[in-house]
Amino acid sequence: MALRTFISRTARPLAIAAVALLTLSLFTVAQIGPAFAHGERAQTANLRMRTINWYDTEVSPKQVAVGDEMVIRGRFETSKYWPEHVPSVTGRVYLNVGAAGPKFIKIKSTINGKSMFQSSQLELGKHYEYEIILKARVPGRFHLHPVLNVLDSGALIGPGYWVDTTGSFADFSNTVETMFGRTIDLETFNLDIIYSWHALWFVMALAWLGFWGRKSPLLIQSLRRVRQKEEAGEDPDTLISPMEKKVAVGFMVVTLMIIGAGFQWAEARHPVTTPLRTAKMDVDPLPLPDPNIIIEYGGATYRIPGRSFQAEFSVTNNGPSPVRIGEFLTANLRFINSAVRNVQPADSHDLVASDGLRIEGGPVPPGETRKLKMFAEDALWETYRLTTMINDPDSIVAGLVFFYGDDGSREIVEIGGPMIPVFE
Amino acid sequence: MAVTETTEVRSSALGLRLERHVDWMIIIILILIIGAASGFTLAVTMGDWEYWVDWKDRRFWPLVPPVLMMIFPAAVLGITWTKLRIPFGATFAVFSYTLLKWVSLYFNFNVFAGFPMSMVWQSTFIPLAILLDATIVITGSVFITGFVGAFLWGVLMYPVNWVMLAGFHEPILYNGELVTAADLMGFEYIRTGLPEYVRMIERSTLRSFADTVVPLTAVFAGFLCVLVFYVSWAAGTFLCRQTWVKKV
Ligand SMILES: [Cu+2]
Repeated sequence: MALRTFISRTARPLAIAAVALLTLSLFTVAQIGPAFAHGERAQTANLRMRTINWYDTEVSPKQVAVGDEMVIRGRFETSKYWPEHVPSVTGRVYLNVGAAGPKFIKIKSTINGKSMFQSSQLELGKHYEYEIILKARVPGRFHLHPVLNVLDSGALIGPGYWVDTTGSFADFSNTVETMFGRTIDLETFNLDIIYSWHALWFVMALAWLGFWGRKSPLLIQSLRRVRQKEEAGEDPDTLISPMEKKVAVGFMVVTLMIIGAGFQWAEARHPVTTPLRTAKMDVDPLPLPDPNIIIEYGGATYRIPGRSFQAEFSVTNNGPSPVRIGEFLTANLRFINSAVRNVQPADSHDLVASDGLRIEGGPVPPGETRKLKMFAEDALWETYRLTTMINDPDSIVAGLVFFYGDDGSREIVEIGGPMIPVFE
Repeated sequence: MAVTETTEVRSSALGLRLERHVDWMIIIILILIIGAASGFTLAVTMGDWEYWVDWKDRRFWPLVPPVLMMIFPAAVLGITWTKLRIPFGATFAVFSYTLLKWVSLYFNFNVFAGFPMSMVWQSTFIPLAILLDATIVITGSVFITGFVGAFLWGVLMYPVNWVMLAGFHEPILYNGELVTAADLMGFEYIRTGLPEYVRMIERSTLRSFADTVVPLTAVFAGFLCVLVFYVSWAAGTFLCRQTWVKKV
């Protein structure tokens, strides 16, 4: 075959393959984080309504400079209506932050005061109080959420808030001291060693490649030489000269010596090391007083044209003062009864319907049982795609009902049960 | 053009120049193809995790990456040795992979995702590849190369990379807990979709005798590397039989 044809025939498909593979390998890797910015609506309605009910979420301060601390705190309830087919918090959970990458570093996180440096496990139908302390790292405007990663279920996202960081990334450092008194900056730690070690081996590789590539032209000539030997019935191994064998021995000895010396050096520099940590943290639910309010769920409907969710239940009040419903919370949506509370959205993406809740049946006096009708009506149902719950196989809804007593007390009760759609 | 016959090209100066061009073109394209393909193979077979500093443990890190990393270098060495008697196949493959991986780590994880490079650096396999290549030059035997060179590859992966990792495992007292710098980075730098528990790392069991975990793993990795070497070498030389190389 003519050389020219050979070039034109092989070069193009090879080049195309190279570019394709390169693109593939360079861009298949960055799926952690960035895609996360607003994953709120992605999960099925079912998953959002019946897993983690986040409440009392608070981010402060919302404006910081690089290097300053910020706290995300609040509470959540682990739904007692957790779908059976979804692995729950009784397996393994990790308290995390929903953010587009490490714009902040997480310097401390706790649930009920216990460190959440590692993962943990929780009970269903209980309340927990969490706190995440962050330190601003990169300037910009970011949307932050508390998140619980649940093993085999994925990230369950809490409500998000916009925060602003000013300053310059160049001012950020992240120093800690080891138990041997070494102060290290995790932003750049050990990079000098990592880069030098890699550079050394790159040089060795180039020396090895250069030595064998010293004959030029290389590929076609070598191919031809081997073929000639084979056709002549000789051993192509004789193409390797004694000098080349000596060089190979030299490379082998030097390589082994560098490996040995490097290892000795590292052992001498860090005589005491510990393996990676994997303990599972134990945490008990919040100790809450016995409930004063008992709810009996009487069914719910969702009227599609009016985006109106209605639930009926009978409420027994065993407490000392009359109680009224001030809020219904499901899937991070907050429907507020404006007759009881004044809650306004904190920012453009805060999921609060300030006047989205209406109650028929009035306050429940102490010692009495009343039938109440609750209307949660707002476009949020549609915007956050909770209407897709109609397509769920079991159509079970759940959420938290917030009762407020005239004496200023608050009691939170989870309701749940089947829901029937109304189409006209 | 008059120059169309291979025999004529061979003798002419133009032919030599052309051949040098071909050399460079093929070499550059091969760096891209082999580098990208090895990276892709690793990502598909073991998942893409080897570079996270808090995944480099004593049980899986010295075992899974070296064994799967052996696939491409062994096949490439098989081809360059049997067809060309140029014994740099393994080094060439690993060199290409390492080069492209650094580019990918730097852009994807540092520039784009914002992680410090200290948290996302790869292990090096280059010295292991040089040892493998050198073994075949010295012995001329595929069998011995597998037995010695591939075994060393598995055994030495940990000591080679311990140079870079050791500092990350020095104990730190953090908020009253014993941790390492590697753990701390995993905790601090937010990875929403990658919680602590998904790491494929050694969990403490009553069986693990702390100091022997690494040597035992290394020897086991060595044996597996020998097997992968033979299989991959055979596959490489077999595939090569049918390709364009023969037609030139
Ligand atoms: Cu968001």
